[in-house]
Amino acid sequence: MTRRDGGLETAIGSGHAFTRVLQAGDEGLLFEFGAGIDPIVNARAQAFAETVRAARIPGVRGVTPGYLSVLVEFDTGQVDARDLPGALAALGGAAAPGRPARRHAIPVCYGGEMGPDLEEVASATGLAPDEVVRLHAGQEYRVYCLGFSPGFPLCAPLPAALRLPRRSQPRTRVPQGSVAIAGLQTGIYPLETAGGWHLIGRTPASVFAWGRPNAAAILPGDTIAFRPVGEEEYREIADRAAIAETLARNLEGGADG
Amino acid sequence: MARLNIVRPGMLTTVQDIGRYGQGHLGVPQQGALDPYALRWALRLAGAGRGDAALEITLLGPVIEVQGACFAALAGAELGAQLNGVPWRTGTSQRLRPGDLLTFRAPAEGLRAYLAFRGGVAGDLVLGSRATDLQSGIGGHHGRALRAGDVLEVGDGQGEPAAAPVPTAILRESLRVLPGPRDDLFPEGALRQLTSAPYRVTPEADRVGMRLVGPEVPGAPGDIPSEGIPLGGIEILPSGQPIVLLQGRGSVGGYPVLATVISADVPALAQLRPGSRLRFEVASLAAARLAREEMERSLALPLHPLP
Repeated sequence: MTRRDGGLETAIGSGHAFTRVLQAGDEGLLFEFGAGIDPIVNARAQAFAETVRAARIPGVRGVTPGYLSVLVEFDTGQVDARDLPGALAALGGAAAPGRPARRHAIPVCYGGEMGPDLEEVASATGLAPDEVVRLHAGQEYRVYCLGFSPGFPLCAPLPAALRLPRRSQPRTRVPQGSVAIAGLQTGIYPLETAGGWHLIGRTPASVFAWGRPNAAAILPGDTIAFRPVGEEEYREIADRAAIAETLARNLEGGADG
Repeated sequence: MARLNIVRPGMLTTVQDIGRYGQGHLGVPQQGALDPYALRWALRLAGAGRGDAALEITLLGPVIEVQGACFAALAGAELGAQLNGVPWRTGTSQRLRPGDLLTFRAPAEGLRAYLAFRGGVAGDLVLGSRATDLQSGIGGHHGRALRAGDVLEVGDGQGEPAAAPVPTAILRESLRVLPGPRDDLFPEGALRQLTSAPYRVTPEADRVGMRLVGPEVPGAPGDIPSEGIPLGGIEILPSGQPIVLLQGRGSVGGYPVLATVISADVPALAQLRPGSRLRFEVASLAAARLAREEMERSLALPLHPLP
């Protein structure tokens, strides 16, 4: 960022692993940690994001990690932006109290009503539907960041044979729990939203729930693997989840009364 | 508490506060008032708290019947508000009585106005904010725009009628931008093209962003690995046309941001109607900071008491 703010790079110092700082408007700084879709670059970005968030710097109102960068947003009505690089520098290279990454096994019912695009993906990739499922469920994925909609885990890299551009006509309504692919990413629609990815299956797992203490069940840095299940097992898991949620709600209600 | 009967909802009326900040790492959008300057004036004139919610009114205002005494302020666009048939100028506060009828006639200028109450507007508090998120269906009044028949609770605190000493809507068609953060992914001349001639706001403009039509920006690199998108970020779509992202934007996006509207000009974006013209001009970081300081100073000016 020496291009537009000579003092920035020097003020922050070399304690951090970021490679560049880019101005993102007068109330944002984009810290870049490398290039491309790379687990090491992403891990550095996530560690920095955790450190900045944990520091609770007054006036900083958003710390959003992406694949290879972290956007730090602040309110210049509350903090002098000229002081901010110094405040970030004061954090030093100290790593945040690390949250251990978790591994999630996501049950998925592939194809049929649950995955209406499976056949289309199969014909577009020249694979049999079974082969698409085998490839998709045959490896682990890193959760690079959450975004697009609340709790949506952006996971990569998808096996090369499955990479397709997004649908030319996005759907206005994608059912909650839809497991989808696009480009070199795969993900889960945590809520019913619009969406342009190819829907190949659906999970009964509750990925995101407003009002739950930890709204997002899957966090950046976690790994996920998809486990194919039949419709019967899908329904069993969905029923159990519904019961658990009702119990949790009743407990909450009980605490109030 | 006093109550508001929503007789007619208007084009798009939602409960908004200053925004749902600090949840971007969970993929939760910021939301909140699209014109934070007008919201802050409305809250201040009403004697409400800075974190209180107000009603964001879009172009064609609602018809509201007031139940219970309360104290309210209007700020932002001049949308032809009338209280019991008497014009209610934007940028002023007044006492409301039970049975008062608030209507909106022809909108004169601007797009969004804010109606605030002493004691705030009640709404669902989600992750620290009452802002309505229409995409997710959470916050505010049941996560949706107001409908006819809705009843809203508002504070019943009283106050002294006053007027803002300056206009509470910033209307300008020239918007200042800072280059980046991803200007280096574009060929030289892309920024020059963006600032060369006016753009027009298309009908595809909502709380998420405004699609523009005008000079095609050459060499858009297409998708990039998703990353945080700043407020006012101007993404260039593969077609070469820009989209300016507002408070309802997703926390991350996959199109590169060529330039970012400065924070002092974000309120002006929120007042541009579909079809209106705008142009971008490059500013320095120092100029952006100065403009923002001026805005903060103006928000702190003393109010003018009204008889």
